Amino acid sequence: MMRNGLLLVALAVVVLSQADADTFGTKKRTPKPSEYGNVVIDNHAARVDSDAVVFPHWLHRAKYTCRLCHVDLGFAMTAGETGITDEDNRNGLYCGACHDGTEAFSQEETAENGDVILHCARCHSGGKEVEFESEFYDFVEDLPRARFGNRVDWLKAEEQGLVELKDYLEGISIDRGSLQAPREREIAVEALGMPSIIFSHEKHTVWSGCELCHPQIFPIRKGEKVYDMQDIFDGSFCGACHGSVAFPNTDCRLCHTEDVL
Amino acid sequence: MSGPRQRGRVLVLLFLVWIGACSVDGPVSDQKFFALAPLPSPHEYGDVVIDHASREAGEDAVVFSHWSHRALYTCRVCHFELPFAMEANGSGISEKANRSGHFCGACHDGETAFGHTEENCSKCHTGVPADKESSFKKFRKSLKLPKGDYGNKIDWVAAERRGLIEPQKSILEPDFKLIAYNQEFEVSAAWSMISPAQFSHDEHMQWLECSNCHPDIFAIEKKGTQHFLMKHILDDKFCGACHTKVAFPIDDCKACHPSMKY
Repeated sequence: MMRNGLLLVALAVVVLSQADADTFGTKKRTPKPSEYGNVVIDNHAARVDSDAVVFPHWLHRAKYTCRLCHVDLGFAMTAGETGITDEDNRNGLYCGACHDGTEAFSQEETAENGDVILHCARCHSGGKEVEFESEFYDFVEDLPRARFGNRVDWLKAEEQGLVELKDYLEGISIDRGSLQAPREREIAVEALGMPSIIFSHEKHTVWSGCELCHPQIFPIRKGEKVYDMQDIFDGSFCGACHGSVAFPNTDCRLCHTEDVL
Repeated sequence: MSGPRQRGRVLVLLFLVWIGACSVDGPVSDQKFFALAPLPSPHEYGDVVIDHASREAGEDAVVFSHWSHRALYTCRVCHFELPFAMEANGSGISEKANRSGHFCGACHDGETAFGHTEENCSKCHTGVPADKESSFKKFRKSLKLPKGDYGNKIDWVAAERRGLIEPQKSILEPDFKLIAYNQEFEVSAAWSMISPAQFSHDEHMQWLECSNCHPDIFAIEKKGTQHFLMKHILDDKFCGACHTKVAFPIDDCKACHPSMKY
C-alpha cells in the first residue's frame, strides 16, 4: 500500500514538473486589444448549470469610474473573490446595481406582447458566440490610440470628453464634494540608470478616487511599505491595476517619465 | 516479501523519481546538450516562414529575413513598437492590417519601404526560402561588416558599435533616448568546469526594450529567475528565445562564456 502511495507521489512529481516546464523562460502571449482586461467570473455559474461570465472592462470603464464598482459596489480586485450570486444581483447589489432594466439591461424583460426575454447570454457568454450591442473595434474607432492593452488611451479619451464617466449611483454612492488632488510625486528608483517615476495623483483620482488605493494597496505615509518592480509585475501595488486592466507594464517610460539625459 | 513483483515496483519507483529529479533541474544529464542541430547557411540564418492566411488565399507564404531588417532597425522597433510576436505566426498579421499601416505595413507603405502593392507581392511572398545568397554576400561586403563565427557569420554587435550599420531605435518617437541602464553581471554555470557567462545590459539595450525580456522571460531579480539552465536555453527558453534562431546562436559558447577553453 505504502509503495503504491509512493508511486503516486513520484508520478505526481513527474506530471507537475512537466506542466511547469512549459511556462517559464518564455514570452507570454500578448492578449488581443479586445481581450485585454476581460475577466472570467465563475463563482457559481457551473453549479447552477450556466456559463461563466466574461466581463469586459473596456465597455464598463468607458462609462463608469473604477471607484464606482470597486469601492461603492464592493467588487473585489480579483476574479471570483467577490462571491456574487444571482440573488445578490436580483437584490440590486454588484452587477444588479446597474443591470436593473433602468441604468442598464436587466436579467430579463417583458416585451410588449407579454413575452419574457432572457438576457442571460449577454453576460454568461463564456464559450459562446454572442453578438453584442457594442463590438470592440467599432466602439474604440474614434477613441485616441495607445500602444498597449486595449490600445486605447483612456486618460486622453476622458480628458477630451470622448468618454464620460459616471461616479455616482443613486442610493449607493455618497454625494460628496470633490477634493483637491495632492501634488505630483517623484518616486525615486533604486536601480541605477532607471528614470524616476513621476506619479500624478490627479490622473489617478479621476478614475480611482483616494479610496481605491489607500490605505490597503498603498499606505498614506511615504516609505511605510517598501516595494519593488517585481512586486508590481506580480500584481501587487501599481500592479493591482497596471498589468491586468489599466495599461500594462510593457513600456517602462509610461511611468518612469523622468527625463533621460 | 521481496518477490519479483515488489522488486519491479521499486525499480519503477526509482525510475520515476530519477525522471522527476531530472525534470526539476537536478543534475543535467541531457545528451542533447552536445547535439546541437546543424545551422542553416549564413544567408538563411534568422529566416522565418510566415503563413497566417497566405496559402489559404492562394498566395505563397512569406519568407522573412531578419538579416536585411536588423541592419536598418533594432529588434525593439518590430517586437515592441510594432506588435510582432516572438514566434512565427503568433501575431495575427493579415493583408488588411498590413494595408492599413499595421505590422509590415508600418514601413512597407511605398514611402519608407516598398509598398504592399501587386507588383511587389513576390518580393516577400516567395514561398520557399528565396535565393538571397548573392544579395546577402553583396550586402555583407559592401558594408564591410565584421566577421562572426556562427549564424549570419556577421558580428552584428560590433557592426553597430563601429557605426557600420545604424539600426533605427524607434520609428514612433523622433527624440527617443535610451535609458542608461548598463549593469553588467556574471552568471555562474551549473557545471563546475564551465566558466561563468558574462551578461551586459548595455549591449542588449542597444537593440531591445526592457520588456522584450522582463518580466516574462527573465525576472528582474537575479534570484527570481527559476530553472535557468543551458538545457532549457536549447529549448528556446530564456536566452534561447533569441539566441537559437536570430541573434548569434548558442553554438558560439565563448560569446557568452568568454573564459571557456575548448
